[in-house]
Amino acid sequence: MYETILNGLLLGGVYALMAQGMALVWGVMNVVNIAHGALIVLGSYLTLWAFQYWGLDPIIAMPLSMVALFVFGYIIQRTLINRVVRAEIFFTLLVTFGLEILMMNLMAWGWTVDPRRVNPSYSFSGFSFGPLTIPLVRLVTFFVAIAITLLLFVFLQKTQTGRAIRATAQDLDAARLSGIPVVQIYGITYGIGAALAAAAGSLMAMLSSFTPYSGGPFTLKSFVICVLGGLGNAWGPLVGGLVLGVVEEVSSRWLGSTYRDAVSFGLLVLILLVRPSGLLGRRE
Amino acid sequence: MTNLLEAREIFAGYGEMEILHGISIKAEMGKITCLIGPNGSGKSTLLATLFGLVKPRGGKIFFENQEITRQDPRHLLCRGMAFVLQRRSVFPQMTIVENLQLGAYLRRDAKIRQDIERVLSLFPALDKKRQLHAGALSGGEQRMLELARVMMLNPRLILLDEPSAGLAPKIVDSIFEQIYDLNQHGVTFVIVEQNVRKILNVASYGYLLAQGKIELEGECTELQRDSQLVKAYLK
Repeated sequence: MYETILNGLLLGGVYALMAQGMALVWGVMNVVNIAHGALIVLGSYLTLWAFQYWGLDPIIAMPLSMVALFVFGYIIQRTLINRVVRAEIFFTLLVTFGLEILMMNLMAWGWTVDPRRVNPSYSFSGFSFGPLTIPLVRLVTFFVAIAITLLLFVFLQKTQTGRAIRATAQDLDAARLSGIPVVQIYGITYGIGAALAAAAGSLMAMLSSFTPYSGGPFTLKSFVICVLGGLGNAWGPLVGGLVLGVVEEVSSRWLGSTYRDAVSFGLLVLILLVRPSGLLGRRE
Repeated sequence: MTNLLEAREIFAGYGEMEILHGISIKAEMGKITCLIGPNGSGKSTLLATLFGLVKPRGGKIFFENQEITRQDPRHLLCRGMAFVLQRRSVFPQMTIVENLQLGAYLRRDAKIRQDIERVLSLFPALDKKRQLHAGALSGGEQRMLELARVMMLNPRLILLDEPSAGLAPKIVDSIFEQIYDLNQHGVTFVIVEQNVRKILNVASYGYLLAQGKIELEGECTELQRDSQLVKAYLK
């Protein structure tokens, strides 16, 4: 049982990173980014490419795919998403859904729909800690995910651009009247969201196999984590991710992995009924 | 007498609706100018137009004798103009110091920290609570923080939209004292205000707007004696 919970926490750390980008974009721009999962998968494929062609370890390749997706996300936001930022949520859902479908099909065209996975040399290594056996790859991905989450937190708290992002989320008009270039900040925010998705994609590529169509489940999982942790709190996705990781692992052990997603969404319904603002979210 | 700001024959509105019908005003350097009038007379629209938030359909605006018509707020902030909204507009989940840091967003010099101390010394009530989140402050303190935040860019002119809105009378007094103090430090103000009695005591020149036009203008001491104005606002 302890091993199951530990495995859940290790997976939950990566889940938390997966949801950070969606939570940031949602919180700052009020855009529920349906294309978030496709960005994660694109990050996985870029990592796979770097691994196959240049022999780069996924952790080394990760910063490269983060930079590539930051640029991609910035351009997408300025040319497409920015047109619907203050529109009704229906339009933002429609546009990002369309973007997801486009990206999925382009990835299927470019990389085929065969399941892929990145297996570095330490993929099958593990070590024992008392009665517990911990897969090395889970431990590495967990610590990298937590480190990136903490870096994001420091960036948002301590840098002027980070403060501008938070300010834009808190009061758009006041941000504008302080001279913050809001449109540029939106572009940067979406770019960071995409870069975080790329980082999560690099890590997920080592944990499970993926196809161009893995994006949908990733989007849904990120959505559950955002709601579970609560928006408006930087630690929300971290707590949400850890909780979901543990719940998934424990339920898989008891009920079998078939019901993994059913349990996730059961948790989503439960949290919406009991605490709609999420575990750490602000109560209205 | 030097005019810091001058608007000539301003026409402006939203969509099909024209709100301002050829308004001309001047704000003398180092003075407080007020805009008063009933709801819907166009006071806030005029202020928003002066700051580039509403693009005028006609007329010209000058700041320090340079035309600034249709310039966006970022340019005007850099030139030395600032705008404080009528509604509360602090960043509630940030500390007072973080709010002030954001007030200096357009600055790239190394003296921001020193300036935070300088600005906080002008607002002792905020200085004591510098690490508190702005959302935890009272309405009056939030209003002071808005003023303190715009002071981080050392503006020569502040456009203030109803500084007393939603505040208790005692708090309103302290806000106007603060405005008076800043004015004594050389900041020029253009203030839209519903509390006519109060603003006419603080400002030196005033404009009475009605239906998008200037109905009356003059020194505030004269306006306080105007029978039409006294009957409508001061009785």
